[in-house]
Amino acid sequence: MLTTPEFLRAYETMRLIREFEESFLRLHGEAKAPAVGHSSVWQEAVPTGVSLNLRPDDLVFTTHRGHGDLIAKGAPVEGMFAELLARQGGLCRAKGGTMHIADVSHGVLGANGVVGAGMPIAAGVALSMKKQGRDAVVVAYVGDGAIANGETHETLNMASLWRLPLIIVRTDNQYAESTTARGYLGIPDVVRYVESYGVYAEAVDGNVVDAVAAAAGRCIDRTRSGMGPSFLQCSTFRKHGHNTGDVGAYRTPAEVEAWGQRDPLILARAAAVGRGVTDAELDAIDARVTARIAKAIEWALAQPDPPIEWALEDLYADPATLAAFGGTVR
Amino acid sequence: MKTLRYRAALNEALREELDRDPSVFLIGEDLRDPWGGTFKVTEGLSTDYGDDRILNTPIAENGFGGVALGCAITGLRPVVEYMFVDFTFLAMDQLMNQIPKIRYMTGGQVKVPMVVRAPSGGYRSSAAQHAQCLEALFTHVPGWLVAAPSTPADAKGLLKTAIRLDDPVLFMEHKLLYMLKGEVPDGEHLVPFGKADVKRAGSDCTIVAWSKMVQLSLEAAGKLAGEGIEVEVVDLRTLVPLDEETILASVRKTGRLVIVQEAPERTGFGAEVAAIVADKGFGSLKTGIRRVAGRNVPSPMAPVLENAVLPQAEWIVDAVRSAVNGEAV
Repeated sequence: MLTTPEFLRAYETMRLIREFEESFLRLHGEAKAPAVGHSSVWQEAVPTGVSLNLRPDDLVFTTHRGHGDLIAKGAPVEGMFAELLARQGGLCRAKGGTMHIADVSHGVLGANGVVGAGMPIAAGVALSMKKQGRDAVVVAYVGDGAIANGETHETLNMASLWRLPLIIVRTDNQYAESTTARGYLGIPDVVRYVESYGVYAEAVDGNVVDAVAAAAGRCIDRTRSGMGPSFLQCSTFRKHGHNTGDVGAYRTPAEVEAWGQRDPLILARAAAVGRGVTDAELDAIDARVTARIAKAIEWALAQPDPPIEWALEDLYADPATLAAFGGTVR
Repeated sequence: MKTLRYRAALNEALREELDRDPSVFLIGEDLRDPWGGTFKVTEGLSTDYGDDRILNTPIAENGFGGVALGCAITGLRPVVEYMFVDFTFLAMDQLMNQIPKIRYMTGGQVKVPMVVRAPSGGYRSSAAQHAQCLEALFTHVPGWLVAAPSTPADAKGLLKTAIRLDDPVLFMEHKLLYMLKGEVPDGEHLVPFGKADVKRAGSDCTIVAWSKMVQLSLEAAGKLAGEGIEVEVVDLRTLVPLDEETILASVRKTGRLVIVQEAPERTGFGAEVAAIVADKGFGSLKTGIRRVAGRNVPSPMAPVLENAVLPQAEWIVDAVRSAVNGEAV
C-alpha cells in the first residue's frame, strides 16, 4: 500500500508522462518532431507503478512506445524533448530518436525499434549483474504482441534456466498494431503460458497505479532476492492509434470510450480524493507539471541542430579503431 | 617460436585473455568439456576455468547473441561462438540491428566489447548450410570490425587484440585452417587491426586474399614461381578496418591485381577491394583487375561438384597468368 505522499508522487509522474506524450503528438503534428512515434497515453500507470519499486541502480529496457518508461525511471524530459525534436542536447545526440531513446545515467539502457529485441539484451544485463555480484534487477518492458516473438521464448527459457534477475513487464494495450491476442496467440492466457517456462507470473489491472505498484513489488522483491525471473502482465489500453500515422480504426468508438472512463489519471485522481487529498492540491500538481513541460519544450526548441560532424561519430568506441577509419576521436 | 596448429593458437589466445582479464568469458553452444566446442577450439577451458567463465547456452542463437550484447554493455567482455557462421542467420536481429548499432543509436552512451567467433568456409562436403563465408554481410553493416586470419600466428594475435578492443568483432575462422601448423611467437603476441601482411613478396602481380584463400594463393604463387612469375600475396587479416595503403602500394609495384575470395563472387568483399583499387590505384594498373571467387550457387555436397564452384589453386594460376600476359578480362 502506497503512502499518500508516494501516491501523489506517482500521480505527478503519470501526469508528467501524459503531458509529455500529448506534447509529443502536437510537436509531431507541427512537424517539429520529425520521426513517426508511438504514444502511451492511458498507459501511464504501468511504468509508474513498476518504477516505484526500482532503485537508481536498477536497469530498464523499453520498446518503441517507451517515453513513459523512461520518464518513470527518472530520465529528464528536457533531454527527451531535445532528442525527439532532433536538437543538440538530445539524450542520444539526436541519433536515436523516439524508438531508440536511452539514458544510461538513469538506468535506461534503451528503447528498441524491433519488437521483442530488448528482451535477450535485458537478460544479458541480468546475467552480467549476477556474474558481477551486483543485486540490481533488470526490467524489460515489452508490448503485448512481443509475446509471440521467438526472442521472448528464447529469453524466458534462458532467464529460467540461469535464474536471472529479470522482470518482464508486458504492457498489454490490447492491440499489437491492429491485431488482438485472439488473432496471434494459441493460448491467450499469457500467465499460464509464461508459467510453463518456470517463470513466476502475475496479472494486474494496468490502469490502477497502486495495484501495479503492489504486483510489481512482489515480482521485483522475489527476483531481487534470487528466486529467479518474473513476469507481470498489465492490462491497459492506448488512447491513440498505433503510431502518429494511425487513427485506430480497428477499434470501436464504444470500446475506446469505455477504456477512457478508466483513464488511469481519472482513477488515480479519484483514489487520491478518497485518501483525503483535495482537488486544489491535485490541481497544483497538474499546474506544476504543465509549467515544467512548457519550460522543457521551450529549452529544447532553443537548442541548435546537431553539428553534421556528429553523423560520423559514436560508431566505434576504440580510439585506435576510429583513427583507422579516419574518424574523429571523441 | 613454437609450432602450433591454428586451433591450438586460438585456444592459447583464449586462455591468455581469460587469465589476464576476469571480465572475459566465453558463451555459446557446447563449449564445455568433454565436447570442447564443435571444432575443439575451447577444449579444456571449462575444466581449467570453470563453468562460470565458459557458459553453454541453449540452441537459441538470436537469444544468446542478445545476452552477450547485454553483458558487453555492462562491463563484461563476452567471446561468443556460433557453431557455424551459417547459424548467424538465426541471429540476424541481434547481429545486425542491435550489436553494431546500439552505441551509435545511443549517441555513444555504451560500448560493446565483444567478439563473435564464426567457423566458416567449405571444401568439406558439408553442403549448403555448413560451408558459407559470410564476411561480406558483416563488412556491409557499419559498426562491425571483421578479422579473417590465415595463419596460426595471426589467429592468436588477432583474437587477443579482438578481445581487448572496445567494439564488436566478427572473427572469421576457417574450418580447413584449424589443423594448419605454423610458427607462433613466444610471449605476448598481439596483431593490430587494420594492418595487412605481405605473406610473399613479388613484383609481377599482386594477389589480395584473406582467410583460407591466402594459403591457396601461396600454393598458386609457388606454382607460378616455377614459370618465372613472381606473385606478391597480400593477406588483409582484417577487412574492417581495411589496410588500403598496403594494397595500393603493392599494386603500384606490380601493376596487376588478382583478388581471391572463397564466397560467391557477386557483391562479395572482393568487389570492394576491386572498387578501391579502381578508384585510387587506377593509374598503376597495367591490366584489368581479376577476381577469383566462388560461383554464385550454394555449396554442393559431392567433392567433384564442390571443387567446381569453390576457388582452386589452378584458377588462381590461370588468373595471374592471364593478368601477366595482359589478356582481356
